[in-house]
Amino acid sequence: MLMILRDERKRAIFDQVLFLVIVSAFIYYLSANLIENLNRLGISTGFSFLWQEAGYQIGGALIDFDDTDSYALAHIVGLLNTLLATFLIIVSASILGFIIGILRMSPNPLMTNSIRYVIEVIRNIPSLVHIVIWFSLALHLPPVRQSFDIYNTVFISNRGIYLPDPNFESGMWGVLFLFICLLAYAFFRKRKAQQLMRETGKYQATFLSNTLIIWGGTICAYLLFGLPITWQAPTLSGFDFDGGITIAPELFAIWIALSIYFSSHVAELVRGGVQSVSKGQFEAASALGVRYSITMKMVVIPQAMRVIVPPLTNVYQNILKTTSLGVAIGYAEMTATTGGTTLNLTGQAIECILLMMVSYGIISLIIAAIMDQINKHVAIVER
Amino acid sequence: MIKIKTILSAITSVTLLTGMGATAPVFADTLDDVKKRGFLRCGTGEAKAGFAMPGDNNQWQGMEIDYCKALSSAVFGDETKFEVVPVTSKVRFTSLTSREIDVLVKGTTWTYSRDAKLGVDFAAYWFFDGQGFLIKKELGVTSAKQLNGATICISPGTTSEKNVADFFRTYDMKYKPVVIKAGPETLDALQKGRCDVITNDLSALASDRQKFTNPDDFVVLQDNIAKEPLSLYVRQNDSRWKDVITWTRNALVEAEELGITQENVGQHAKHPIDPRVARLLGAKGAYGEMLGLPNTWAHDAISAVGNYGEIFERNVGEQTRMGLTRNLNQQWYDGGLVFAPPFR
Repeated sequence: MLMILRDERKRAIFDQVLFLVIVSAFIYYLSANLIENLNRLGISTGFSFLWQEAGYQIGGALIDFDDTDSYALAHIVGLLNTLLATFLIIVSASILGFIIGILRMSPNPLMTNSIRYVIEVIRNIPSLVHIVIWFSLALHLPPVRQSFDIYNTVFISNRGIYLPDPNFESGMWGVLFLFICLLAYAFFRKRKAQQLMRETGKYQATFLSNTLIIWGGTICAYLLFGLPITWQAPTLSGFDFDGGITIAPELFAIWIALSIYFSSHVAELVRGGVQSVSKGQFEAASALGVRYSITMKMVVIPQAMRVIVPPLTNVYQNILKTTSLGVAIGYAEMTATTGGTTLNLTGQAIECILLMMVSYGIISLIIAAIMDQINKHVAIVER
Repeated sequence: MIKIKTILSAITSVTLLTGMGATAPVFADTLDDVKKRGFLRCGTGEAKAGFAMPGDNNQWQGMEIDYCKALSSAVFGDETKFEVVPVTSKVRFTSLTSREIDVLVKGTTWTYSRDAKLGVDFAAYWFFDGQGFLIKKELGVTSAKQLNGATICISPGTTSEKNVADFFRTYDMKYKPVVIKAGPETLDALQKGRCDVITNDLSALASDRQKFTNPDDFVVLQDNIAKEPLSLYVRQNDSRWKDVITWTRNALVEAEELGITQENVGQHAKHPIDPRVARLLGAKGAYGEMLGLPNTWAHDAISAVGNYGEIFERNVGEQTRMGLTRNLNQQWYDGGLVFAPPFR
């Protein structure tokens, strides 16, 4: 026994096993205590309720959901809405944040200072207030009968933005196939240019020509196949529009509000990252006669990314967690379905909260894993 | 060990754990607990005009608060020995089972699954409500059966969501739900046209309609799509305390039937003519003691808040801003559902 403790490596394993046992015992004690108490109080426990009929409907479900479906499916509907909002906000907050962050370091003092104050104001208003402001703005759009229309295909009202629904005809598969082929070809051209650069040092621009090849080819094919997408425009019938895709004002509000809110966080990270790159790098590049845009793209940003990416993971995870505020304006995400209606209808508070905790935890870990890969990609490659 | 439990409850932040962790082993009678503590913890709604709402001088007012007063008077002979604990729809049952409150007075519908599954017992009805629809007059809708395809605003954490789904399924109609927090947000959504119609308890819709600057542009449809008996709940297997809750309510109802009011209760107690009055007010027999209460319990409760009819009229009746008629809440002999079993 003592022998184990003397060997450092074995001791480490021993410590970890001991720790695991203690933690498991603790968790076992807690759950046993909980179950015993619930049984004594006559409260039914377990997750079997998930397979029962939910008996309520959810607005803005991404998959078919009806009140005869199960609570489990209601959870999935909420989960998908959470994922949708998280994805949209991450994409738009990142793009907006990068633009703002770069502008924040512009040599023009008017630009720098005005952006600085905008960031400070946005950052210091709580996210819930952002959401409520954008939601009430959305409600001030015209009512559905007087909705604002663009060529009778897109309608904007306070009940949502109605877009025409694309119907793919068989020719579309040909177009898609060609698109993928062109994408592969463009990728191949880029690799070849990179190889040329490594071997001979000759720079060959491919971005513009590749863009032209991909989009030009696809559009030609689309015309050749005889416009294989037909658009089904929404039409007003009864109380509401029928057909088409609807972006509900709740999704619209949370998307815009949180994109703006988190873009200020991203902008600050970008600024911090770029400022962390030593001034000598700029000076060395310009001494070699490299243009400002190339310096940024090839010298500064790759080094800044090493500083930006790790805290960016935090921002993305915060975005995920903050989408739960959608419940305040009636966006049907996980907190509203599982933590709201399902919890109330079944009274299974602990099970519902646990389910939410696990779901948020898993998505958070997935975000962390993806960001970890990106981080490895941008990190200093040690040779 | 207690310390570990405390840390745990902080971590999980599930109230259920907290309460039970600390007091699990002893399950004394709630009546004894309340008496020992010296005051009652009354779980009421957070803000519902006429039922539980902070009024002038920051004093809580409403039908639910009056019931707390009656209960406090019945147990202690003093109408102030209670603490108002506002609970939300989401936490109300957890608060009750974890002993944060002694009785749940907040308007809570008595349903089968709640009674069977949640470790609580139903004690008595307090208010008969229904569920209806509030809609703009200009849409020209006269019946809920014309609502096919409508967008409906529903408050979260209530039975309304299920009732609407059931109703639309029964009549094979479709609707789009928008779940928005009850209160000004919902009214705003209806006014601006985010939804065509609001659904809620009829009593709540009547008071909501009054909140618009132009109440005449809105109408509460005649349809009642659900029975909503708002009831008083206690913890399961707590018979004596449940009896106290049930019979305090019954005493207030019986008082109306016997013509006893807040004003004349003293008179009746001194010179009871009707033997039923004498038994109720403690002039004859030892009826209070059977429940472990003072013999004057009913007298004290009635002199604190009046009889059931008085409580109704004072808080939500036609003279108030709520403007509700008694309707189903009339006494049984007037064709309503309010009924007290005999005091014998």
